[in-house]
Amino acid sequence: MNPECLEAQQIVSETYDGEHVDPAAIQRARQHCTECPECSVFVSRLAAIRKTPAPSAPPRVIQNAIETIRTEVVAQAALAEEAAAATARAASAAKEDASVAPRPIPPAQQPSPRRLTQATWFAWGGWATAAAVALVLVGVLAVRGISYIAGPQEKAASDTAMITQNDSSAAPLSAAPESADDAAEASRSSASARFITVGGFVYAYTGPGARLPSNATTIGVTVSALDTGSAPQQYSVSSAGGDNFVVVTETGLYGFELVARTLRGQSYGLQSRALSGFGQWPSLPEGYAEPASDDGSPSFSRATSDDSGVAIFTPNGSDPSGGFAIAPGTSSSDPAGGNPNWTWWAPLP
Amino acid sequence: MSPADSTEDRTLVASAQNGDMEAFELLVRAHADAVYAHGLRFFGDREAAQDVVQEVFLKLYRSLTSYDGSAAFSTWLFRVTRNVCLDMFRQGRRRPVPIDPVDIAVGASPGVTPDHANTVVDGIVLEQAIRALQPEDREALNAVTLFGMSYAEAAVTLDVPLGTVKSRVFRARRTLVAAMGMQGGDVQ
Ligand SMILES: [Zn+2]
Repeated sequence: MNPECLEAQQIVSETYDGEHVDPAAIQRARQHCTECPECSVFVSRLAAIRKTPAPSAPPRVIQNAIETIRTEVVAQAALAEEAAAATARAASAAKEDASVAPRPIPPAQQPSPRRLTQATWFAWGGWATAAAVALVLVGVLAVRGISYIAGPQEKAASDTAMITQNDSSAAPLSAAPESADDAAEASRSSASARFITVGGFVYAYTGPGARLPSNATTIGVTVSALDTGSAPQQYSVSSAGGDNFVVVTETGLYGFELVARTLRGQSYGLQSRALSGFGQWPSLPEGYAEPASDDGSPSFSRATSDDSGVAIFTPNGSDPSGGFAIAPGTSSSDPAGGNPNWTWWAPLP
Repeated sequence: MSPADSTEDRTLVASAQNGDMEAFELLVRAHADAVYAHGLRFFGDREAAQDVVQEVFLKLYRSLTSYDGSAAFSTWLFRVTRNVCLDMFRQGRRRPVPIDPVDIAVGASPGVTPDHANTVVDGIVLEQAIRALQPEDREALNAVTLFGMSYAEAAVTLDVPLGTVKSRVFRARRTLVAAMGMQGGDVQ
């Protein structure tokens, strides 16, 4: 192309973007474009392109984004409030434990940093972030009229912790089945689906009775009706050591564990859309379309199999290390067993 | 974006940092289009673009306290939007829908006029052509046209020399102008 044309077109383009261009150069370019047919076409097409509006976000998309943030604001507030309460509980339990000989937790039962890190990240980036964001929340909640208890978060000393599985002194659980046999009897119906989601990850109900340890740390919140049959409520979820997590309700404690599986030595946690109560099976998280056929298409392609021969699916058959899907129909011993839905498994750090 | 817009953004950000959720919502409403368009051009899929909008504003909200105002809000927004798209892609959560060049060449627009002074461009075909640009050219073009960044701001954000931004934007424009000619935007 003629260098003069190139220069003229570049000047036009830069002028359109509001960049500073020497007025004399603009004048020269304008003159050239009126005389040169090729540049004249360039200018008119460029003007037409500029007039063509870019795609705009549908109102529903904007509203969804705003609703998501509002939900997070409320969740954050609950988290901060619960953390303050947990700190108070821990302080009071520490006093109590000081009078009895504490049973030290074997290292194997201590909270897994890896899993805690993951869950905590999703629950608003951990304590440091929660504390930082709380500064913003004070104002937000003042505006919205939500009561808010400010308080620094602390991880209580772990050396006074005590975990009592099936501790009969714990408040009784309302209607949840109490044994593995009960769970088995519930067969594969939705009655055997007893899950909550925390920060997008799925936790399976393990039974009642885990006493909240004095060093319990809140890993996040869940909004669930659990097995109450009433409206979903927001509960904080606390680490109870090892892979155990506890939800404290007015009627008792519910024990949970992270639903995870391994592939090539790496742990993956089950992710799902929010589950608002027992009886709901985990499903693919937001952003993943349900496959239309058994071979995973069009969402996924089969990438490989795990050691048990369970087919591993990924978008476009890509490497599963970034996460993968499992088709429904796995055996009852599989972490996805009984689930009629496709499931998504994300790497745990 | 005008300096006035930029000033208004700063005011809204400051209010949001002080806990004014409504101010943050105004920011979302004011900038969702740019984020959505960038996501749509990156993935070619409306659902993915919707995810991008959700994630970008959630990230912005979460990191409000870290924004010190040293860069324009639009620069911050563009940086977060770009990273969200790249992360979604790298994590395999979303894959760009492949572009068929035939869509651009053959998608002759109805309502074209033979007078190039009144050239009309089919928005859908134009978007296809933008998606078909070299990713780095498209990114530079988006930074400038969707997010209202200056070439200098785009250069800093994209970590390339100013001259590179200039040439990427210009190359993008020339490619689009040529593509519009192929699909009959005017008659020569
Ligand atoms: Zn010329």
